[in-house]
Amino acid sequence: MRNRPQTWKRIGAAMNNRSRLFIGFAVVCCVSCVLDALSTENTRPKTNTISLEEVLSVGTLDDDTLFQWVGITVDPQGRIYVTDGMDYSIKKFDADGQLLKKAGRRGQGPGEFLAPRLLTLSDTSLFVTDQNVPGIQVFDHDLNFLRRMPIKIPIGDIHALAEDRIAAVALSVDRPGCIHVYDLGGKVQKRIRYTFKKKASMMDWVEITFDSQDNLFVLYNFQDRIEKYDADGTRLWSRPLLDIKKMRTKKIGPWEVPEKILFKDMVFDSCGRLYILGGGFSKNPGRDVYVLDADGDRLATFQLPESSHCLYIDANDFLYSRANDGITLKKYRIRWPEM
Amino acid sequence: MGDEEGKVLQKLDRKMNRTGTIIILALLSLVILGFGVQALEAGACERAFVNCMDEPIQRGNMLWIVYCGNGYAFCLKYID
Repeated sequence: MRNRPQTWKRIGAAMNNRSRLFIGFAVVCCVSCVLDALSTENTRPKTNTISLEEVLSVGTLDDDTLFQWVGITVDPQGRIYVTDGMDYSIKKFDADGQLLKKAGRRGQGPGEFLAPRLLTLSDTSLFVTDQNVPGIQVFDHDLNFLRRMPIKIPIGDIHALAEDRIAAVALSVDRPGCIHVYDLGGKVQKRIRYTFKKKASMMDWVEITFDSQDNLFVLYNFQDRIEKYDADGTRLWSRPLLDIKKMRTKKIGPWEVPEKILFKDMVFDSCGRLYILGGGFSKNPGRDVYVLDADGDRLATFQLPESSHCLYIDANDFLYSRANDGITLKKYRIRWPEM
Repeated sequence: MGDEEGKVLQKLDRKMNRTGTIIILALLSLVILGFGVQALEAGACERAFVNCMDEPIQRGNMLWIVYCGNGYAFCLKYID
């Protein structure tokens, strides 16, 4: 017993610098892990108890129902419409996930696709974009091709409005950010500018959605910013969500492009709550969903079971997201905690 | 007794060095492999973007570059 302190002293003396370095490294790792856990705990919203109950799964690894679905919209009866990028088609499923119809094939003609992406539904029409072909193709609800809206500008996001009008984000790298509202013939009815810089860039690309009062919400893909505009296009507020000050960019060829996407998608539920899907800067990229009220205050955060590129909530407040890298579409019931 | 204790201490020191080296190597490989996966994914979007801009017929066409950028943004959205 008397010798113990002396033994420790000798062990200490016998340890060379490498051992001390290793122990130091281990201690630093432990402290950093503890600090990280503590900071996550502090930033976690108090009402983080939203859960998702799976009610439907469409497409499996063993069938060819979906190859790589991209865009989604759902009608009031729960029928699901998706674009399937790898199948060059649009597909319509009933509320139980049974395929009702498929339309489209590879090509650039009427009703054909090279890279079908976004789709949105009005009372009478289904609007579909193609990443590599200009314009918006219009189908009826039974997926019959009706016409192509002749729009030359590449489109970032679309949202169907009343009276068969459609709002579209006009993408540009040399003009200020602008949202165009088109009629069915492809004529611009209204322009809403959301940036006022002389020269815009990819950093100004956005997602859009509208609330029930026709207020426009603009979510930046590559900036920590969300904005609300009234029906006349006047900005009501602009605020950050994650307090990320600077986005890292990199040079690809002559172009400065963002390295990561900050926000991927946003959608309203029937109660006017806004759900935002986080990207590469979120703790769980493609899975963290931030829920905001109409003033942009955060109500809650929850996680999707699997990473998704998009988020959709239908008229009955069912949430849809991706699984199996786009081979599967999942439908969930959102369970809010009892207040 | 003193000699024996010295040998034990030397053995202990050697053992600690070996264990430390193994752990550090394991940590380093984890970090490198982790970044490797990210680089592979990010690299796929970059490569597609560069290839798109290199399209001979479209070179220098501003509108085409926006289409390429749209593809890059979609790629980040899908895999990030």
